[in-house]
Amino acid sequence: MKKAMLALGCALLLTLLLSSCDRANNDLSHGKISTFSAEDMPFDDGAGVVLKWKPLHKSNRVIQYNIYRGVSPDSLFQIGTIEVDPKMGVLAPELFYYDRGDNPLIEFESSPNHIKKEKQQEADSPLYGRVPQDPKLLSTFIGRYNIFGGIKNDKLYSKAKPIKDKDDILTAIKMYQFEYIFATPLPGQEYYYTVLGVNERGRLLPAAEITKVVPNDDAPQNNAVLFSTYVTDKKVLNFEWVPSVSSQDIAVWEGWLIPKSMLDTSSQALPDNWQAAAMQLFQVPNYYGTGTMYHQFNSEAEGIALPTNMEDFIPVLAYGDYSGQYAAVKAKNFRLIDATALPKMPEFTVEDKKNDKGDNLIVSIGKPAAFMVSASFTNHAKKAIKFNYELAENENYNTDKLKFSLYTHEGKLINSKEEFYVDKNIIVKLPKEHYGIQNLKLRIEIKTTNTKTYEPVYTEQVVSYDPVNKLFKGEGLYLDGEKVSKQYFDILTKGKLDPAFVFGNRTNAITRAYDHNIPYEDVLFQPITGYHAASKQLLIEPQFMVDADNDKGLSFVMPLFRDKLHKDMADSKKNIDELKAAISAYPQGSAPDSLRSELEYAEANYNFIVNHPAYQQAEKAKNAKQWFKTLLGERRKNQRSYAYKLLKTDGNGAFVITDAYLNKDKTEWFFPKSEIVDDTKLITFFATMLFCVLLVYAIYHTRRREVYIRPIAGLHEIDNAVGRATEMGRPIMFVPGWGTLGDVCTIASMMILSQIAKKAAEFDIRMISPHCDYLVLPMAQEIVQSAFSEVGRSDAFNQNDIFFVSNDQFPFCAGVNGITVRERVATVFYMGYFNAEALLLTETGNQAGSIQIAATDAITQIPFFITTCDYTLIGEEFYAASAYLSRNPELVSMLKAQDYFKLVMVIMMVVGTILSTFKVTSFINIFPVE
Amino acid sequence: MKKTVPLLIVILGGLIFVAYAFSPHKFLQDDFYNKFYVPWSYASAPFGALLGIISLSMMHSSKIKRRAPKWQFSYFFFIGFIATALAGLIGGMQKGGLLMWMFENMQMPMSATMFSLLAFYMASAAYKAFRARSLEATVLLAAAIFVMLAQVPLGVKISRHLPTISQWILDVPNLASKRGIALGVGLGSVATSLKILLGIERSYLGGGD
Repeated sequence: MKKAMLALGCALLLTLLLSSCDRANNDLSHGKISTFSAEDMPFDDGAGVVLKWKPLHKSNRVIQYNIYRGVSPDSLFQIGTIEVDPKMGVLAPELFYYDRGDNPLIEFESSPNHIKKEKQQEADSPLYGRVPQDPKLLSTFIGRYNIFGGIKNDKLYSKAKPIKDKDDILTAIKMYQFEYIFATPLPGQEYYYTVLGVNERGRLLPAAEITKVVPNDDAPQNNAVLFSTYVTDKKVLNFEWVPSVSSQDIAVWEGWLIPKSMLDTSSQALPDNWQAAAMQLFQVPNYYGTGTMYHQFNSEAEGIALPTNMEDFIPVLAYGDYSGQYAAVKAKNFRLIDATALPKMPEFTVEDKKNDKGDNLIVSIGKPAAFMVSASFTNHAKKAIKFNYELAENENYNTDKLKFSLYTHEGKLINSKEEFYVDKNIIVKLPKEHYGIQNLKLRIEIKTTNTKTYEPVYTEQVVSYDPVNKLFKGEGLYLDGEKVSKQYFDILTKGKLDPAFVFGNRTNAITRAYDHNIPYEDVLFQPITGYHAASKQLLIEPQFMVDADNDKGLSFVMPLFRDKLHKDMADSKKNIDELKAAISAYPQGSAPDSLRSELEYAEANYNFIVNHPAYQQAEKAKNAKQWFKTLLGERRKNQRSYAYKLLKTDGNGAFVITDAYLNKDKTEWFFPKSEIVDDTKLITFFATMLFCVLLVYAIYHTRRREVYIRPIAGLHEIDNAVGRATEMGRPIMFVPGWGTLGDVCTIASMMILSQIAKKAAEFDIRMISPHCDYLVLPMAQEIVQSAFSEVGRSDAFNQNDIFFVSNDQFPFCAGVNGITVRERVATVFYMGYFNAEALLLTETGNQAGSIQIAATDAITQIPFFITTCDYTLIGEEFYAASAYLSRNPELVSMLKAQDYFKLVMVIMMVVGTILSTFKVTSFINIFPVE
Repeated sequence: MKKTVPLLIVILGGLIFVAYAFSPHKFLQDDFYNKFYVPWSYASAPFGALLGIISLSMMHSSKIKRRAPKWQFSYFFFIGFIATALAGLIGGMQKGGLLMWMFENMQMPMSATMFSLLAFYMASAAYKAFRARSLEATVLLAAAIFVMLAQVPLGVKISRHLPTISQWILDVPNLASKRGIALGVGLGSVATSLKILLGIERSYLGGGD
């Protein structure tokens, strides 16, 4: 009764405390945001809204602002938050929130199940919390937002169900199968917004006035930056441009040429009627990414003659969005060059990345190159320079050695030195006449394996000494005579289902390898088109491209269900028949061309699908599952197949592009494969096998005769330490450290616990074991209980002596220290992984007069244990403890196997050292470096 | 049977993780580890926490029942536990809430206090370690003086060679011994894992070796 009263009292006290912290505020206008506006986002596709408000004063102790949105002023849902510092407040005069629907409207893990009004608002407040996971409510948003959901691919494939609707087959899926659902605003639709502050007590302050906004589809911003060159001898016009920020809304890019005379004479700006005398060169759809873009116009190949006086013309880039609104910019920089001024393109290859799970392809560029990062004199006499360098490598070449040559500015060789082991630093001695040299040229040459001489392509750097920082700095890096800082690579990639090569993988020119990540299909985004009230499911229309013929514009698209595909094919066939009938209705040869081309395309696409090998194989499938698996396999193969081109540019419009790289089969497609064995770990695997062989030998040896084990004082003393506790009538304590069940040292400590528990049971003394990991705890309890049972003292086992203290470091430490002092523990065993708490624990034990035996594999804590404990097991002794204590021949044989293996390791090290001394590094390079 | 089944589970689990370590295949890295193992380990963690809470509650309630020495302190555990849980459940975990207030103004200062004690204990441990009682201890003392002095501006004032000597001590004898220990630890870990994997070590199952 007393206890119940006490608990009740505590609960009441706490409730009072909480309620006093959250007392009601009668002033409803206090904390209301007064200046709030919602405006259309400029230059976008009409899916963006900009919210702006003046932040509340810091006296309001606001921790976050909640943003609300709705399609009518009577119901607004929370769509996002901005966290702020309650102590500092917001220093900026205004806060902005850009709503493009990027935040999920509904999240499976955090969205509520039911609609809920916001707290602390007026009774007729239109504000609600997050949009609940209610498909019926979501269905009311369809048409007012662009709604789409992210769903794991396996869920979509297995959980979506077909629903027959008249003569159509719909695809339906439960809402909770989605990971998240997004809703982006639509142009021309009315939206209502408001914002409110939340203070640090979790109280929602009054909301700002609800504001209406109608987002519009705007024209693109004319701030793209165009660089252009005309290669006179090749008759090629290069366009290189950095698109405007609104590039996502751009449908086409157009290249034009206008006479310079058309430009405004004073401002050199593009006039409104610039197209009047302009020549259109190209128009390409915007398939590209968001980075720098390129287009090469070859006048001879295109059959369009360019003016002979190109210096009197200037290129123009025009771009239009999906609603036909245009912007145009003239070239910021236009040069006439010849082919010798173009960057030199190195060779490149494409390969599947080794030892990965099949989600990477590697583009290897050129040969390895090394460059200096920093350098300094090694001593005050400045007799030698230590260079720190980096090595850019790729899969195609293995570096054998490097040669560092120092030259004066006049080109006279100062000294050179070869580097046989690439450890990223080298010391080069200076001849007496060059002691303290301040300026020099560094040349780094590389010899690859399988070649006898150094590669002809090398790097050169101008290096000068900075006396303030006492460091050498590289001022310019040249690779094969080209200044690297003014050169870039862009790796062009094209998926088999993509219509064109995509740019955007731009990297510096010293790069020797590009890792192209091709992730496995995971989350798929599907537009949500409707709601099926009878089954309470959302309707989607998944269409997956299986294959495409981009040259002819044909595609093989599959739905999720076999019947649906059959129906779609039947519809296509019917459409073809109708087109044929419509054409035949015209007199011979007088049918419109548009009708003929429509028929031609429909027939070609139909034939492309029905003649596709995957379609034919899928049609032979006995069931829908096999049908789907066949088509999905084909889709995945095509979706993850890529072709590559390499582009090299000076960043100012002078660039060269290679043809697509061809594989051994002379096709351009590369597919990443998942490897079964990681060959970099083979040496580790063989070493483990060797260890097993040595173990078998050791077991055989140990069974035949007794083997010698070096006495370990700490373990030898366990009996005495337990005996001391018995004599003193005090308990012993076992602290298993900070490790989890995933750490080998914790498992090793549990093995020792078993041995110590047996001794404690034999001597009939109390054993305490505090724990900081609740998963280790039950294991320890079980081990101690079994140990007590084994020596016939089950009755002496007390489960409450093996207990959990805290999973925080210092509370655990404080708890254990308290027990050490209060229980006057006679002996303490610290066995496991320890951190900073080690010294705190052992010093307390020392002061309490306990015998302390410690064992850990934490190198940083070993000195503290040695200093403060009576006995310490260092490193491997810890792992040998269970064998030492039990004297089990099989466990002892493991110790012997360890010793044999150690001998092998020592031999390897000695051999490696000798060979390396004689500049033979191939042996040490066998071993992996972590 | 009582031991065979758990042993088989351990061996099977161990072999799967050996395969996981040596094979980069998607099935092991993604399908097994990321999609199966990690979610299950997350799901089981709260049950482990519950075990910890039960253990701690049983220990303290038993202390109160037995009127064990300093049993009154056990009430503080229950008060602290209930207060923290209620503060989190009722007041939420947001910044400025009661739970965070308790964390920032009670737990953090107390942890910092414990940690600060380390400085004094370190000085005491250093005194014990650096007493020149033997030749080895004297070498240790000299090395410690070099390294410690090199860390402060005074050391450089005394001799500009001190940082070089200190770095040599850290890079050569110190690193050599650290690597020796690390090598032994690595080998010991592999040996312990193999012992468990091959079923040689069974004491963790309880009841004998």
